[in-house]
Amino acid sequence: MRNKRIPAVRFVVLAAAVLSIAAGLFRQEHLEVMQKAVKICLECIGIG
Amino acid sequence: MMKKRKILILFAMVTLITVISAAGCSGKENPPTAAETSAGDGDKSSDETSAADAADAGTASRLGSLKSFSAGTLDGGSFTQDDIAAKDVTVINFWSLTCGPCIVEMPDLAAFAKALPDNVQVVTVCLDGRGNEDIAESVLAEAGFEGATLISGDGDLITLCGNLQYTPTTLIVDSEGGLVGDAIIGGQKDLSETLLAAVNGALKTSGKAEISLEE
Amino acid sequence: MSGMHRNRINRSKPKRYPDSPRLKGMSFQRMVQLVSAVLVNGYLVGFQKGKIYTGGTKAVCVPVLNCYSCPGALGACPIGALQTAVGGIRGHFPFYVMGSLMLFGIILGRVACGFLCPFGLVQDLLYKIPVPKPEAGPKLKKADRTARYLKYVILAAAVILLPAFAVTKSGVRPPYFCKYICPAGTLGGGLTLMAGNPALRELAGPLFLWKILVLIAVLAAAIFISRPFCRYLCPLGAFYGLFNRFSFFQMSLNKDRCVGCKKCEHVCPMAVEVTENINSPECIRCGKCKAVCPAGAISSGLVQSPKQSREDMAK
Repeated sequence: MRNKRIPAVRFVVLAAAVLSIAAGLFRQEHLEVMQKAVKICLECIGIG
Repeated sequence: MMKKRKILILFAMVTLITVISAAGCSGKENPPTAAETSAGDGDKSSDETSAADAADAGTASRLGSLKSFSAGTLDGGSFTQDDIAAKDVTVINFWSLTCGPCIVEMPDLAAFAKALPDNVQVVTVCLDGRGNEDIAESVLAEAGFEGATLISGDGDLITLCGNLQYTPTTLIVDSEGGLVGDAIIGGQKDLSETLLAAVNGALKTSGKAEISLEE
Repeated sequence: MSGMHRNRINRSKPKRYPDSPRLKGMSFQRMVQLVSAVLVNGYLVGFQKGKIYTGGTKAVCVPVLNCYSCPGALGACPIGALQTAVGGIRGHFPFYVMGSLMLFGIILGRVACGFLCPFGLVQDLLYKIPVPKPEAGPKLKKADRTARYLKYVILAAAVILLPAFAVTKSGVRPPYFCKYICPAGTLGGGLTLMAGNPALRELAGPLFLWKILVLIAVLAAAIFISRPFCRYLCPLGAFYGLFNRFSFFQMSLNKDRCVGCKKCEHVCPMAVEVTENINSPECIRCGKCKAVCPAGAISSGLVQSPKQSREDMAK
C-alpha cells in the first residue's frame, strides 16, 4: 500500500535534497545567491 | 516538560536578541565621510569639509573615492587612478549579472559612451564578473559597449564597491579620483540626458568647459 | 453563537486549556513566531541606517518568505533566489536553491508557515483586530476552495516558468513574483528602505503603486480572513504543502480518542478538515487544533524511523 512506501520516500527526498545542495555548492550557486542578496534588488521592492 | 520549554524559549530569545544586536552594531564599517576622503584638496567644492558644504557635495562622495586603487579588466588589462587622471571626467557604472535593470540600460550606456568627446570616458564595473567573464563579455558585446570593464581590484575601489547599496549605481569621478555630485541609482528614464547633466555639472565644478554629445 | 461555529472559513477564538504550553498568556506558537521574526531579520542596524546586511549568511536561504532587500534580513529569500537562478541573464537548474527548499520541505512541510514566517505573523496579528468576521455561506466556501489553487498557479508561472522563459525585450528575465506580486518584499524591503532613503522615494513609479495596492489588499483581507496570503497566494506555502503528507514532521489524529466535536476544525486558521485530512497541503501546522482538542487526540512531531512512521500511519 502507499502508506508503506512513504517512509522510504522521505529518506529518498532527503538524500536528493542534500545531493542537490551539494551540487549547487560545487557549481558555486551559493555565490550567485549571495551576489543577488547583498545589493538592494530595486525590482524586488517595487522600483525599476 | 512545559516548564523546561518556557525556560528554553526565554533563554533563546534573550540570547538571540543580544547576540544579533551586538553583531549588527559591531560588524559593519561606516562609509568614509566627505571629510575623510578629501584630505589635501582645497579647491574642489565637492571635497570641502564644512558641514554646510558637505550637503552640497552630493551623495556620491559619501560612498568613497577612487584616489588610489588598481583594477583588473575583463580583457586582462589593468586600470588604475592614472587612467582616471588621464581624463577630465570618468563615468563609472556599477552593475552585476543578476541585476536585470543594469543589463537593460547597457545599450543606452554604450551609445552614450560612443557619443562622448575624448576628455570624458565611461568605465563599467561588473561586481560578479570574476568567474563569469564569458557571460559578462556577451552582455557587453550585445549592448555594444566598447570601454573598459573592471572585474577585480583593490584599494579605494574595493571600499567603494562595498559601500554601494544598489545596482545599477553610476558615479561621476573627477580627474583626481573624487566622487562628484549625486549617485545615480536605478534604471533611468533618459540615461543620456541624466548622465550628460551630471558630467557637465562635474566639468563646471572643476572649471572646465561643458560638453555636448556627438552624433 | 451557533452561527459562528458553523463558519468554516474563519475560526473562533481558541479556548485556553490548563495543560497547553503558555507563557504569560502567549502561546508557544506565538513565541516561536516572534523569535523567528527577530532571527530572520536580526540586522537591526539596517533598519536604523536604511541599508541591508551584506555578510556571508546572505548566501544561505531562509525557510520562509523574507525579502533579502529587507534591511534586517540576514539570509536570502528562497523564492527570490529561485527566480534569480532560473532567470536573469543566464538561467540554469537551481540545484542549490531547490535543494534547500526540498530540505525544508521534507523535514518540516508547512511548519515554516505556521511557526517561522514573519509575514504569517503579520497576518495572524491583523486577524486579531476585533471586527466581525464574515460568515461562510456555501458560495463563499466554494470560492475559498477554488481560490486555494491560485497559489500553485503563481508558483508555476510567476516563480518558475516566466522567469525561466519569458524573455523581455532587453533579453533579461526579471523575477516576476518579486517584481509584480510579493507583498512581503514591499512591506519588508520597499517601505522600510524608503523610510530612510529619500533618493529611493523619488524613484518610485507606477510599479510601486501597484505593489502597494497588492500589499494593502492582502493586509486588509487579513483582518477579515485568517491567513489570506497563505491560503491563496503564497508560492512557498504551495511548494511546502506538497511535502505535508511525506515530511518527517507529521500531525496525527488518534481516531480512537476523537469524540467528533469538531473544535479542531473551528479553530483552524486554514479551514482544514482536521478529522478527515490532518496532513492536508493546506495545513500550516500551527498546532491550534492540538491545543484545543478536549480529548488530546491530536499529536505532532518528527517521525524518526521507518518503523515509527508505520506506527503513526496505522493510528
